[in-house]
Amino acid sequence: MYKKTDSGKYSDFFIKRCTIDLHKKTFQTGEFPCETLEDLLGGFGRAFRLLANRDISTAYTRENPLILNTGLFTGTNIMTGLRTYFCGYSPQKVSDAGKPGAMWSAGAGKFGPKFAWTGLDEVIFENRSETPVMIIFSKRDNQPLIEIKDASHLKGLTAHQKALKLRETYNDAHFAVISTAGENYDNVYMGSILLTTENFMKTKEDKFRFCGRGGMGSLMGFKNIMAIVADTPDNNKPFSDKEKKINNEIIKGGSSQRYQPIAKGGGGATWTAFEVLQKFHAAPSLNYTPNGDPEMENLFRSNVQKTLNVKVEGCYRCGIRCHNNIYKEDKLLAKFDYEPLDLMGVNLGIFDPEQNAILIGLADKIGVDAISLGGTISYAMEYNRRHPDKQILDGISFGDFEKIKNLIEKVGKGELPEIGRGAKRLSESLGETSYAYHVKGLELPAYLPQTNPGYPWAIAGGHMSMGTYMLLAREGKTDMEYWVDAITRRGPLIVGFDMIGLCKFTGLASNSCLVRDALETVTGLEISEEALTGAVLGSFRFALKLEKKQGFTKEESRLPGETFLKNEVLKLPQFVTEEFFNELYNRVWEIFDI
Amino acid sequence: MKITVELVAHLQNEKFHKKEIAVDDNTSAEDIFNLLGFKNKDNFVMILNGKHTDFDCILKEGDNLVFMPFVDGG
Repeated sequence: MYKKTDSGKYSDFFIKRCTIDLHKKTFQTGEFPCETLEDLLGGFGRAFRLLANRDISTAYTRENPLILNTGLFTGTNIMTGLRTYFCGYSPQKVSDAGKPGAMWSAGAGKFGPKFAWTGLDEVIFENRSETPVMIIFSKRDNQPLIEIKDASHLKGLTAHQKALKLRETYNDAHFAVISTAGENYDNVYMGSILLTTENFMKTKEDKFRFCGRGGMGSLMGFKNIMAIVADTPDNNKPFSDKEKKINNEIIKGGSSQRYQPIAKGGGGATWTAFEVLQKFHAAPSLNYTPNGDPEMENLFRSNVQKTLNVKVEGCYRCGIRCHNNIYKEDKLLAKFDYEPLDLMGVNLGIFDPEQNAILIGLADKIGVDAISLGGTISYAMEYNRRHPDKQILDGISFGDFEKIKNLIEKVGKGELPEIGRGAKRLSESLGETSYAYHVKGLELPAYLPQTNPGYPWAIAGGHMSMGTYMLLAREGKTDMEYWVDAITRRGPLIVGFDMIGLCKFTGLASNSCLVRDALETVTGLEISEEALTGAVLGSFRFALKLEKKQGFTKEESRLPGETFLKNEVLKLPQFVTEEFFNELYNRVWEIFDI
Repeated sequence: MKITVELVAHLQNEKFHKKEIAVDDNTSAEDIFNLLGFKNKDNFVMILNGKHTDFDCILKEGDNLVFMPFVDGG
C-alpha cells in the first residue's frame, strides 16, 4: 500500500496486486486505487469482492483463485500487525446445494510482514500448476520480484520439514507452507497453511502460526503450491512517538492483559478459558456433551505443570506473549491454545495432558485445522458409541489414544477421507446428522452451541467470525433482544480484525478509538467510528450475500439438532430452545435482510 | 456477616481457592474485588449464588461469590 496523492481520500492510496497464472507460469503486477474504505483496510473485505465476481461451483477447479493478502497494519510498526489472509472458495464450507462457500483464514507469524515488505499487498493465484511449485517474492530496485520455481523436492515433506529445507536457502526469509494433508487435498478438505515465526527461524523448532479454518491449505495443495517464500530484509523503520504511544496502550491499556502471561499479571491467554468454562461444565467433552467429569481438571494449567514444562513466548515484536508452549523436558510437544486443547483432548475423551499435547502436535504436523479434525473424530467416536454393532473407522472410541494417533497419521496421508472431509459429509453419509457439530460444513469451535445461538450466522467458522461465543459465560444474558443485538451488531464486529491486519488478542473492538488512532497514524486519514463500523458490518453482510449466491439458504442457518436437548450438568442457562431459536432466526434474518 | 468467596484459575495464585470471610453489612462485590487486590474489572466475571452479577451488588449473609478471569479462546 502506498500513497500517491494527497487529497485526503481513500483513492490517494494504491494497492499493489500480483496475478499469477500457475499453469502458464506467468504473472503480472498492477497498481489499483482504493475506491472504498474496505479496499484500504484489506483482508477478506477486499478479497471477497474479488471472489464475488467468479462463478464457482466446486472448490477444486482452476477458476477458483487462492488470494493471499494482508491488512492495512500488516508489516507496520503497530504491535500485532502480523496478519496474513488466505481467501478462496472452500472445499469444506459447502452449501446443501453443493456449491462452495467463500472463506478466509488468518494467521500471524512473521510471514505477513515479510510479504508486505516486498511492496505487494495482494496476490491472486489463478489456475493450477501441473507440477509442484514454490513462489518466491522478493524485492529488487525497490520493486517486487516474483519467481516461480520447481518444488518437487518439497513434495511429501511435512510443513516443518519443508520450512527447514527452505531455511537452508532462504535464511532471512519467511514461509507459508502446506503439509502432507494439504498435498492430499482430494481426501482432506481441512488442510491448513502454516506460517513461520521468528521463534522457528531462531530455534528450528516446530513453531508455526496457522491459517486453519476452511481448508485454504487444501486449496493451496490443489494448486500444487508447496510453499510461498517472502524474502526481504526486515523493515526496521524507527517507531514514531505516536506508534510508541499506541503500542504502549495495547500492552498497558488493559484490553490485551487477559492474553498476557500470568507471571506478568496477565490472564494466561486462551488456555485459561478452559478453566473458566469448566467451572460451568461448559467446556466441550465427549463430542460436545460434557458430563462433569472431574478428570477434566487434569488439563488445568496448575496440574499440567506438575509433569510438563510450560514456556511462554510471543510473536515477532509483540509484547502480549500469548504462546503457551508445552515441553516434555526439552522436547517441544505442542502449543496449548484453548480450541485444540479441548477439541483434541477432552472432546475425544483424552484427559492426559501429555497425550493431549502429542495429538495437537500431530494435527499441526500433518497440517490440518485442529478444530475440524477434533470435531470430526469426536463425531465418529459418538457414532460408534451409539452403534456397538456397526462400528466405523476401526472402532475408534473416546479415550483410545493409540487409535486416535494412528487415525490422524492416516488422515495426513490422505487415507481417511471419512475424517479428512469433515463431519458434515461423514454424518450425511451415515444418515445421522443431529450430533454432528458443524454449521455450514465447518466444525464448531470449543463452545457449546447451547451457549451460542449466533453460530449459524458466522461467515467463516463459528467463533472468529461471530463474536458471540463467550457472551453467555461472560454476561449471563438470555433474553431475545440481547441476542438479536449481539448477533446483528456486536458479534460481526469481530471480523474487522480480519480486514486490518491486527490480532484479535489486542482485546480491542475493531472500531475502537485506538484502532482509529492507529489508522490515522498509518494513513493520515481521519476515519470516523461510523465509517469503520460501516465498512466492517458492510463486509459482513457482503459475505452473507455471497453465501446466498453460492446456494446457502437461510434454512442452512441452523444449529445441530441435539443442541436443543437438555444437558444435565451444564451450569449456564439453557435458553436455546427450539422455540427461542426459531424466533431468533426470524428476527436476525429480518435485520440482515439479504 | 459471613460470605464464601471462590476464585477460579490463576486468581487462586498466592491467594486461595475457596474461603469463608467475615464482612460488614452493605459490603458490595466491588468491595471484595478491591479487598482481594484485583484490577481491571473488564477482565473479570462474577457469579453470585450461581448467577452472573454486577460489581455494585450488595452481599448478604451466606452468599457465595465467585471471581473468574475473563479470557476467550482462539
